[in-house]
Amino acid sequence: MQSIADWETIRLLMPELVIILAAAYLFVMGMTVGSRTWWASFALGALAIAGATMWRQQAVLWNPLVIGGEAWFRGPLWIDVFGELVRNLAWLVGVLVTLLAYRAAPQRLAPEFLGSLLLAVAGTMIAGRANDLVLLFLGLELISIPTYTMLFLGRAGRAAMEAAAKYFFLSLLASAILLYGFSFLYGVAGTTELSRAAGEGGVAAVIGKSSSLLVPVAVALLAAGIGFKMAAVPFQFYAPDVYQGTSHANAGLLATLPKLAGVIVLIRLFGQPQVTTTPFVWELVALLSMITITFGNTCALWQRDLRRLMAYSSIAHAGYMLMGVAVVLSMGSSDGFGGIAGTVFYVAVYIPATLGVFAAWTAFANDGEELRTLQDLHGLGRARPVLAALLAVFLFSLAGIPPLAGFWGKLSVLGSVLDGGLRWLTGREADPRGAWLFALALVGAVNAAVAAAYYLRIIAAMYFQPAPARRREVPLAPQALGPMACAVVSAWLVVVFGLMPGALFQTAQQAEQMLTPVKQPASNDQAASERPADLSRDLRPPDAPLAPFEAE
Amino acid sequence: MEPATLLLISLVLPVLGAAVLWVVAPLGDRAVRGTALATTLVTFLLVALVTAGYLEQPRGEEGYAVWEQVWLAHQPSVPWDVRLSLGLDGISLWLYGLTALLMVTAVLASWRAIDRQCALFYGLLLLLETGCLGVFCARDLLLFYICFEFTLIPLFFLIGIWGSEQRQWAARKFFLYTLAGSVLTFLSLLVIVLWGYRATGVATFSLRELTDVLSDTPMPFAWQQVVFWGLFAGFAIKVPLFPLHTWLPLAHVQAPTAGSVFLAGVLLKMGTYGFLRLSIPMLPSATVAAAPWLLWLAVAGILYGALVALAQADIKRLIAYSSVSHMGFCMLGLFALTPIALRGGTLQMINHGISTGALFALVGMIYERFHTRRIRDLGGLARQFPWLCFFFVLFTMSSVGLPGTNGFAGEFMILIGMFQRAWHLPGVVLGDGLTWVSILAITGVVLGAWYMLLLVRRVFFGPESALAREQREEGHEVGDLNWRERLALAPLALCVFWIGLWPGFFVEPMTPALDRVSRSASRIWAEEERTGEPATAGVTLSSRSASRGAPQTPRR
Repeated sequence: MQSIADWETIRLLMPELVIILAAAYLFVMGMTVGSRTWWASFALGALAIAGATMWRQQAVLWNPLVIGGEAWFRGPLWIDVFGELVRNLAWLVGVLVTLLAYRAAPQRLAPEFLGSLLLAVAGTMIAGRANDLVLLFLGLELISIPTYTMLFLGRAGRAAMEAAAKYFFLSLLASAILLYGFSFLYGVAGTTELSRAAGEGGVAAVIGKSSSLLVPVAVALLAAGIGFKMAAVPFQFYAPDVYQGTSHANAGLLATLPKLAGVIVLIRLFGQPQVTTTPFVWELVALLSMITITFGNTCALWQRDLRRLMAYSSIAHAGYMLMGVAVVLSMGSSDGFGGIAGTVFYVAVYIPATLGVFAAWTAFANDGEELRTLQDLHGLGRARPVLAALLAVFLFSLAGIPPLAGFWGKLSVLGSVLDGGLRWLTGREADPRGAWLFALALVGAVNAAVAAAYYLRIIAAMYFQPAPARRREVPLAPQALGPMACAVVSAWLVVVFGLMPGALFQTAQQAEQMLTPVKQPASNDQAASERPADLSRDLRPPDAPLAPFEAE
Repeated sequence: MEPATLLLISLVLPVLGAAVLWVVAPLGDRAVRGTALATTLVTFLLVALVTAGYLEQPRGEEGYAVWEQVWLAHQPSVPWDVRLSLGLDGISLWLYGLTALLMVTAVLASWRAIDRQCALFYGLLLLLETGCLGVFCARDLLLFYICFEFTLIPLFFLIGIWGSEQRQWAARKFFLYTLAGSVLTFLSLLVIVLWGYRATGVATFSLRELTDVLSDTPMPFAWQQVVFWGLFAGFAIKVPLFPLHTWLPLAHVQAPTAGSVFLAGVLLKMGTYGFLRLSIPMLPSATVAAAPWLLWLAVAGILYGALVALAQADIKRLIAYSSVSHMGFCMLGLFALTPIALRGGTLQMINHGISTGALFALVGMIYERFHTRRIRDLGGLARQFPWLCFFFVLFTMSSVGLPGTNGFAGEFMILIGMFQRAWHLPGVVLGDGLTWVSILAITGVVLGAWYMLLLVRRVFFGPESALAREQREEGHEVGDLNWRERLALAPLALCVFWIGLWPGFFVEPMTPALDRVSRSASRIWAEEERTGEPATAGVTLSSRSASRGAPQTPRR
């Protein structure tokens, strides 16, 4: 096995290292004098450098990956389109939350807050590429631990403490359960590698092929761990309390990064569609998906607290993300309208819309008072027309109304589910799985209408209710500029993905196809020789072995 | 200029106009109204040019003014093939024109009624116009659905911000009710597209290609039924068909005048248009099987709407229920499925848009003068408001179907077609009942005349009401219709007679497209009639062709 410390692996991890170093600098130098704006600019600068490094890498990697159509492996890293897409999304979350939250913590604690945020982002980026259970778990913990800190930082009061403590203990428990599940997988597979070459060997294949009785146990444990991260039923119960107790910025972070992490684990472990031999897996995912969507939406209908409402909404969206995976698990092979692609696309359009909602709420509350309930939104449609319009855009997108990005998310997920159903039912003999998938699609579609009900309530509160007489009208304060910028960028993304979804669609499909490769008779040597030359030139020092596979 | 370019500009122009409104908003409400009016007028002009171009073309089945741009390209990695594809054919031609025309009326009719957040109001109205135009000119299924759904957003705000007392409830009920139906429609659309994908290997959303694919390899009957009722959920709510109409009175009554005009005039047509574009040509067996039931529902709607309208004390509610009744006639025409009934049904869609749109505008004008819509509070207005009375009576005549007006042309064709269906080709399922359907539909015409004429008598004739006298004696400035209002109504009045006296001018261009739409369904119904087997005989049709071109698993 390749030594971890070789130079190429380090180079591949450069963006993550930049971010981690910047975080370390923030922790160490945080005690020196500096304004919050300075620290935020520093964090943004670090993200910009990391982003530039990352895109340079991806510019080199992209063509070989896409044209070669095959993932490659380097030490503990699994380099494919899905991983790269996840890195971009994590980076995006980092930038947006920095903009959104740079005044969320008090002056003294700002560097710690931003440092923790950067660590969590780096953790997601690492988890997205991990090809090793250990590295995957490391990435996940790098998300969780800074999150605990962020929840505690500068939030006095019983509710905030309760939220932080609740999240801390439950998250620890979930991590432990996930780790327990990993240990079973290791026991069955005898290796910690997820996948050796695309679609071969490793832990991911074990889930599908091994008939060991330990596999169902591992799956159940994994489901609990992933369910907690994504806030899927029945592990969703912490979300409303925690969201309500914390700030808008933290809630935004909780609604995006852990969900992304959950999707990573789910897709890396279950995304390979040969996973069919283990009983009850796809039924479990499909059933949880249906219950999650329905439960989240139904509960959200009765909320008056804004963050509680968004917590239930995020639960419902987790259900849609599970849908795509359920299809792939039930199919055994991917056929173009992949469920994985649907899930990936769904996450990608969910992130800017959700962060945008919290950014708009943060920007509204520039008068020092946080928005808490629906009543606080009354009359804002006239008082803050631009922000209100942006918020409406995000909510319509979350509701899946065309032509915004959320619509395409629903389209790709529901399309994959229906395609699966159609294939089972029009096959040589109709299979009841088709009916199940149709029921799944029906639940998803009907729930889209239910979800619209509570999103509309927010919009109605802004536009249709008169402003309360006692509210002071103050001009937009300079401290609202960060959240405002976050909202504008998110809205831009939501609209652009809505009007031109092609590129994202294609990337999501490529991500899926690379996870589910077509078996090729060609040997590794041949594949290596087909790899374009510019890759070796740019990413590999002259004395390194020629092809990444050969190292094994 | 190319007709395709004209069409594209006419579609995009309202959005650009809305952007301009945002810029000119600081200049005051006059500038905003002027800009909005100019935009709608230019749009209408462009649409008129396209229509004129269409009429000069030789009549073919092909779409006219086709503009196409790839949106989501079909690639190895992306099976979806979505195009921004626009074009008109005989069915959409007049609806497209109606939309542009009614928008001018809507802008003029809300000139004085809207006095707050003017720029937002007209901006939303223009966005609504683009959405509606998009529905009618889309040649791509996804574009159609996107526009279909998008219209909910502007209308939600129009009702919720500028509506009357119960506006919030009305806006939300309208939005959620229609959305609940159209998500099921969405699933059905996806199934249609995926079926096409199974058959051809390309997940095309092109309406034309899908229609071809589904007539070459029809779905099995059970599938057709599932998909049909899914589509039905969205379209029937939009129409609205009888038991699903409950959102309509609330939304129509609470909406501001322009909203009601557009809702009744254009939005409801999207439902019938959807049936015409998707259900009937793509799912012929299910259409034939469902038609008798839908005819019963349609006639139930006609009678129910008329009877409830008779009992209303509020003018706007009365006209809202009359909409239910009239849209029942449209559905009757579509699902009688004889050539003449289809033409009548399509024509009646235009007619209803014109007459009911105008009536809602008139109700708005009455409300601006008296601040009441209660019939009891009004009376004897004819003496003092001759123009108002003239237009109201004119559009009432159109609505009740007086010979010489457009309503007569439409309803007459529908009834003729319905009688043909009932007496000559009743089919097997519920075939005997169709006679009753036709007879009851005639009763609906009589009832329609009854409630509308009663309304005219109470509001415009008879003794002057206390309220009107009071207002006159107190010297309130309540003049007759001014030039703006008369201009808003005059083009509609012109259309009433144009269609009424020369229906052929409007019907003839839609003929080839309508024949194409109903070809498969008529054939299946005729076969059913001949063999005496129920419409599930469609199964044999499809299974025969299934052996030829069964859905294959496409290759990657």
